[in-house]
Amino acid sequence: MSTIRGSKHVADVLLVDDSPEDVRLTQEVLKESRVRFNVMVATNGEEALAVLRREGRYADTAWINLVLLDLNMPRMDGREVLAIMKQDANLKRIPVVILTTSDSEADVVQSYDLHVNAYVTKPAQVSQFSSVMKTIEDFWISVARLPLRSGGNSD
Amino acid sequence: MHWFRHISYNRKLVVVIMAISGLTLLLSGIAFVVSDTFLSRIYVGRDLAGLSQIVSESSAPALHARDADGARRILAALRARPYLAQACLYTDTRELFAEYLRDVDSPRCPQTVITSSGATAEGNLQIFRSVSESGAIAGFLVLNYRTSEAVAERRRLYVELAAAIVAVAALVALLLTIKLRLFLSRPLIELAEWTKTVSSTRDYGLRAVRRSEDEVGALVDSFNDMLAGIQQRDAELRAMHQELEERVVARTAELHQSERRFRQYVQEVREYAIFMLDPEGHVASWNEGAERIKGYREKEALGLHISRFYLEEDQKLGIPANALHVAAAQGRFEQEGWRIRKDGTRFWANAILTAIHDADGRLMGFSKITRDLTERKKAEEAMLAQSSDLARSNAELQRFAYVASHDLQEPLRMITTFMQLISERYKGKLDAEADEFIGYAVDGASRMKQLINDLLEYSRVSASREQPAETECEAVLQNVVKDLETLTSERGTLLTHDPLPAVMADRTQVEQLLQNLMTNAIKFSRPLEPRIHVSVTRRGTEWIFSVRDNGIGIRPEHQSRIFEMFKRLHDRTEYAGTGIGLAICKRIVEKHGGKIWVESAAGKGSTFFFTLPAVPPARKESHVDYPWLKTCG
Repeated sequence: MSTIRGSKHVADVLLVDDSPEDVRLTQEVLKESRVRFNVMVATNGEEALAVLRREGRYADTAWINLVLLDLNMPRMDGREVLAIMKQDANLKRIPVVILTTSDSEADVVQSYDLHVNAYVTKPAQVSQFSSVMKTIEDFWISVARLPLRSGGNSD
Repeated sequence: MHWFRHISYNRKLVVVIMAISGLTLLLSGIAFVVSDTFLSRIYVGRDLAGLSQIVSESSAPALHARDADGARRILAALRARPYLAQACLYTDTRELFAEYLRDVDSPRCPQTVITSSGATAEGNLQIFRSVSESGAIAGFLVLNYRTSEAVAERRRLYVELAAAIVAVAALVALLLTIKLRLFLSRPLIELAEWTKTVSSTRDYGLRAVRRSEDEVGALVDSFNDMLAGIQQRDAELRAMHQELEERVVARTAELHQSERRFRQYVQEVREYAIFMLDPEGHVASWNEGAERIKGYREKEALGLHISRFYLEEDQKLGIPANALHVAAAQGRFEQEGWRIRKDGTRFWANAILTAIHDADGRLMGFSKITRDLTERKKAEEAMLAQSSDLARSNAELQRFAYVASHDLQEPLRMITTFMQLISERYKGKLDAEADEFIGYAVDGASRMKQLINDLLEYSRVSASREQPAETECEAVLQNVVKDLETLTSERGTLLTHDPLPAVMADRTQVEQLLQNLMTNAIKFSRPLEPRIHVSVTRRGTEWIFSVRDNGIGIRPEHQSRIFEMFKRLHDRTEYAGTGIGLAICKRIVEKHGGKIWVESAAGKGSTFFFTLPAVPPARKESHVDYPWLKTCG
């Protein structure tokens, strides 16, 4: 797990993606677009849930404000993570944005059926990807109002 | 008279003759008796008048002389008259003078006389007359005549006479009859007997002998003529009968022979089990094929019930009985299924059961022809298994293609995006060659991405399970035009089209089809401004679409290749492309049961034709029925 801290971070974001290249690319894009996210990375579904629940070694991590979730992962994939989150009273308020290369209608429909908050297909062009990430930041951090502390009610 | 009809002709003749002669005799007898009775009275009256005159004249002198004895003598002369019972002679004073009595029984004369002439109560005739002597009445004479006796005597005589006449007449009649028979009845009787002979012997060659020139002779002649006719007809009939019989014999022999031959054939057929069943389904005949296929020898098979050849579970389900029942009712029944041989092994049989009826429609039995199709069945099953294997591997292949293309995109995306990062961040910082190489890498990656996308599209078309629906091509074309807006406006494209119909198709695929063809038309019209026309004509249950362009055209020798995957006619520096677009078009059209082809000549533009199924009429009518749907929409 790695953390990138922006110059003046405004939100704690969990990026869930099994591919290190994609993680790296996303990080680069975030850096280029100067998004003020504090990004934590989980490389599989179980780890993502542990981070969200602040279990075990993640007990001291921050509460997550937004999840950027890939769909296709080994073991527990994004759909399962999404389903679990939206059925968990403590996690269901955390907004989840699917960030994937799939543009399949079936995936879109299934994700919204599982109560995803937004579905975004990763653009192939780096410049476009940058602007998409900027838009996500603008919307979820500046436009949308989120619960003060999204995750859990304990503590 | 009924009896008369039934007696023989001879008797009839006798009866007629006797009746006629008897009647003649009777009538003449009656006439004779009547006239005799009448005449005899007259004659007796006259006779008695004469007699009384003679007696009175001859007795007048004796009366005058009162000579009683003399008078008696005179009167006694009356004895010659047997029926004169009494003669009385009276004086002029009417006193009895003399009397004559025929016999002692005769009544005495009355003493005085007062009577006159006439019939007495006893049926006698009484004559009264005066006796004159020289003009003066000397006395009176009374004669008493026994008329009844005379009549009785006469009648006896007549009866005897009549009897004699009748006897003689009968004799004569009999003789006459015998003689007449010779002339009248004999020829008829002979004719009758002769016809009897003819009819009993059926010898129409016999001829009756003509004995006379009368009606009987004519009858004999016409009988003979008739016989001659009959004889001729009979001969013809016999000849025909003979011929028919000969023919029947010949035909029967032929039939027997062909039946024997047929039996032989049937018997020797080895490929088919051919056997007969009685109406209850027991084996009645058996051939070599049956022996070979079912394993029973003829001796073992005869009398077996067909259910023996069926599997036990089929017997329990009543399948053999049902087969017989259906064949009897419908005349024929064909069935395929497993049957069992004598050794218990199974074989797959095709069996045809045919009911056999006699001329009156009674069920005589069945013929059964069974073929052993085990090999075919096995082959079929193998083929079925193979084709399902093929379908499975095909489906696997499609899934593989899809997954492979999809998974190929990921690393490619990495190459593309990181190349972009490199070119963005390090452009100008490395040397010119590095920039060139980076350019090639980016270009290669993007082409590969296009290739993978097209492949993915192709496999999607193949894998699609979408049911065809009514698709308005007009709307589809509008969509395509909108999607290609950038490209068309860039190139100054002019698109015209006929009014387009609705088709039964997968809308997405029709859109793809039109889009690919339009893209091609635009692409290959360079350097001219593209002119594209889409038209459509109806042919039977399908529509023929055509997309005509003013582009570079395709040489005939290349036209067959263009629909094949990856077949490209141009360098990608001239015209970019993956070589999959038209293959996708072909796949789409063929999935809809249609055809796609091109008509073109180099430099003359190309026209791509394809067919799509029309909307079935029933569906169209339902639209016509509800015009408000359109106005409301």
